[in-house]
Amino acid sequence: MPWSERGRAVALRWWPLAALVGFMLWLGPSQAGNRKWLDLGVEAMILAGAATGLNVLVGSTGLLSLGHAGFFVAGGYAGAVLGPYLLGDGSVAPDFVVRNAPWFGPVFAVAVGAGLGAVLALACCHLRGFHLTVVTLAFGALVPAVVVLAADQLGGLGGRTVERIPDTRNAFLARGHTLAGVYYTSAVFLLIVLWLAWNLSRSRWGRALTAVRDAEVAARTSGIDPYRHRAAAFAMSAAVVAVAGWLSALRTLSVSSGSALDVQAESFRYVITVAVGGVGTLAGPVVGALLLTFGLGLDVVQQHLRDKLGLVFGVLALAVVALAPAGLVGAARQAPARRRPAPAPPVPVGESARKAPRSADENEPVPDGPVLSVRGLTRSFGGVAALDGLDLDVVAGSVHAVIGPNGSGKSTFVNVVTGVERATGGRVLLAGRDVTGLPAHRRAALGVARTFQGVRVWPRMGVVENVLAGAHVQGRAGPARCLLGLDRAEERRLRARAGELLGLVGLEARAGDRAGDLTLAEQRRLELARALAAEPVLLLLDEPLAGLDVAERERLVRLVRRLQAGGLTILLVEHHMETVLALADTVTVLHQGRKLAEGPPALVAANALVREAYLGPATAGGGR
Amino acid sequence: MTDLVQIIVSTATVGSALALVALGYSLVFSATGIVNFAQGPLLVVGGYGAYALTRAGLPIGVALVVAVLGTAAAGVAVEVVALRPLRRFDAATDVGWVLTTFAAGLVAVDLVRIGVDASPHALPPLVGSVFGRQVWQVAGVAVTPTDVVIVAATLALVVAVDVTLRATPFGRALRAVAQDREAATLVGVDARVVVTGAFALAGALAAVAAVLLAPKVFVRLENGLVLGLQAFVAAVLGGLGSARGALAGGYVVAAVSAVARTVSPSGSRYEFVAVFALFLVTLAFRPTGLLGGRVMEKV
Repeated sequence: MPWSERGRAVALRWWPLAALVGFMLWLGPSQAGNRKWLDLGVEAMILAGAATGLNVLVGSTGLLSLGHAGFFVAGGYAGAVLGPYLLGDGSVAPDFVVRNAPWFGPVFAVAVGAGLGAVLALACCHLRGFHLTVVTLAFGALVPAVVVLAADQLGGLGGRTVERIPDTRNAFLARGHTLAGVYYTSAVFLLIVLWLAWNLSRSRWGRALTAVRDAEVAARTSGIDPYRHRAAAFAMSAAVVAVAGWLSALRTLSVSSGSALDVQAESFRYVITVAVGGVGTLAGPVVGALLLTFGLGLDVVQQHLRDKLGLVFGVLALAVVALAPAGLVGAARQAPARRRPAPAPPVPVGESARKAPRSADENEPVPDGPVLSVRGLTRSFGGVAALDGLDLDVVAGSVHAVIGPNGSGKSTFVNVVTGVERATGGRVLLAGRDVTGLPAHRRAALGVARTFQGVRVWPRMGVVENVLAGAHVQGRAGPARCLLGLDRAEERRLRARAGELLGLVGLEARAGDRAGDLTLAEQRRLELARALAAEPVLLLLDEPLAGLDVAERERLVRLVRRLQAGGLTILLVEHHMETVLALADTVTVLHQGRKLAEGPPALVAANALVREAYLGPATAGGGR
Repeated sequence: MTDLVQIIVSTATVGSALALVALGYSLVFSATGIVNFAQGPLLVVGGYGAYALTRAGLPIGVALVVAVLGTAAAGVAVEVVALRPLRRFDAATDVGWVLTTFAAGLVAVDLVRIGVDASPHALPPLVGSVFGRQVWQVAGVAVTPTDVVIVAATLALVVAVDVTLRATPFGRALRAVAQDREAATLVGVDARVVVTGAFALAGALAAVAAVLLAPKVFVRLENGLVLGLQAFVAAVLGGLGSARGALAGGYVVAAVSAVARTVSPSGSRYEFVAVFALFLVTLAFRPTGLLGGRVMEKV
């Protein structure tokens, strides 16, 4: 890509954020004498930080919290009351910590926020999204009740003043000006939060969260545990909001929860901030916060709408959803496709691009015996058995085809082997290990990868990102490393490999596109690259030819041959007889959930029983 | 003994009102697969609506009828402003409709606050006396005709809704739309009418609950949040989408909160904590509800 064009893309991506940060840095010194504007600036930055925290949840996971103000209050109490209390006189902490105790407030805020968030999330992140919303709503309503119960320590509904607060007179550029000190402290907080959010968005964890949001089944079979990732995202966002609460205590020198309705309104303020700016964008929450804070800070607005905030926020939310569902930042980027990151480096066309995938366990040799064996595998829906006591072995390095008429149990077989559906009887053994009770993501980690009959790429992610998310089990970076940007070396390695795989499936030219913009045939090949990115031991292809034309079919057949030559074990579920006969080493014919025949393709094709069951008694000819 | 009777009376009355609101959640969930976060605020609309009408001099019976009709209209308004503009919003998540229904509720409560009043109010009882008696004393607990009316009216309404769902064309249409909106449309069901009807019915039920419960707990703005949440817990506990489940859930939630209120030394403060705990336990172990075997998600 020429530099000018690339530079333009980068500028488009970054100008809103750069302009906003510039504005905030200008506001501080220029309005140092103006308490009102400086204070609004502090409020805007705290709100922007809190909303960015919430956006980690809403934008990446698609879960909406209406109780995050509860974490704000909890963080305020933890950081400005509990922290100084624990680190006060008689504390065993090191001298340096005790002397600067109030500055360690954020540590307590993070701990309490993340802890509370994790507890709430663990209770409901296995359910549909709205359950979480109601739990957060209830949590927000509970906070004032708790504050009242512990009125002695927390001061009841009116809150309490904070006694020991960090000395911000000389912090940063403040020069004896306390409010300016708070201003620059907030600025540092906001910049750190933005940096963390940016790191997360382009990391292994960020991709995993998006993958879970957009196609959960595909995420599970790529080795991503939806429950754990959602819960972690919730805890992270709660922690950020808690620190914002500590900052707010710094600003007002008090902590209070207000009534249940106040907590609800405040929580909704964060949500509307994110929605106005643009859900899932980095600059969105900052734009929203500036707009809301300074907009409502105008004298004329204060005069007329001061006591009608519920109405204002509610109407704003309805208007945004109806008129600009992507928010202001989203609407400003006219072509959403521009948001994709720069394409991966061009793939070298040579031996490395053409080589077959590595075996998943390069250290461990693949044991002798079948890679996959199932024994007595049964899956019933009510009284109907889609699989009925199936025994089957897939030999290492072979292409094993499973065929059968519609309704013979082929898809159920793939789902039960990959863990998408639970077996109701029998066992699934992977290289001798019993995986029957393991969820899909654990099986993926053990080397089971698949494609889907109805393609399930992540449409809003880039093509490279799809492959990278498929390589989830090949990465090691945990949430901390992702947030702090310490995953670069691993990212480079995964990206290089993703480029190779895209070259292998012939998608290198589309590496920078959105997956949703690809044709069906391209999406099928992308799914293949995604599955290969996990460096699987066993690859299941679920009707990979469905909907493809002749040329595309031939292309896919060549690809499968190449993978087979590289030593990969492939289980092919397919309707298309010619392909099966051409590719498979062994063919198993399913009929009504049972094995009808098994053997080399030529023998099976000649089997009269098979012809009758598969093609129907009256049909002649060798394919659909 | 007094405590026990108190718990029973409170469970029966508050539980009935919760059941009516929970039924509203269930109906809308059945028809659309979404949870109407404005259901609690509709309770506020109904309550303050009836209050404004009685303040203007109307008898409570008339006020109830008008409030029910008005709140049904408000329910339809929620559907119009919250659901219809959703088409362009990200459909991969629940964010869009949660945001809009909640926002609609927020607007509704603020309109009530600005247009009517913000302070709590009592409403006159719907029935002053039965056979000349204004109050019965049961083991030292006062039971009023209103208490009896709440329970009787709720049972009648739940049975009516249950029968409607099972045996009328509207009920069949609603169940058809719930299972597969497109297929229902193909066989001639007007899905939009069904959805709008569900929202109207949900609003009407909320207004009935608000007016019936007003002599006991006042009409107040917080009810939208607090009672709305408790009713949602009831709906989930009984199984979202089940009318009888809503009834059972309402009584269970009311019983838990009545017991918590009685046994805790500081009065009503642990009430909500207990309900919240009940909710978390339900979600962790029986997310489809005690009565519901309903599959919540198609894979």
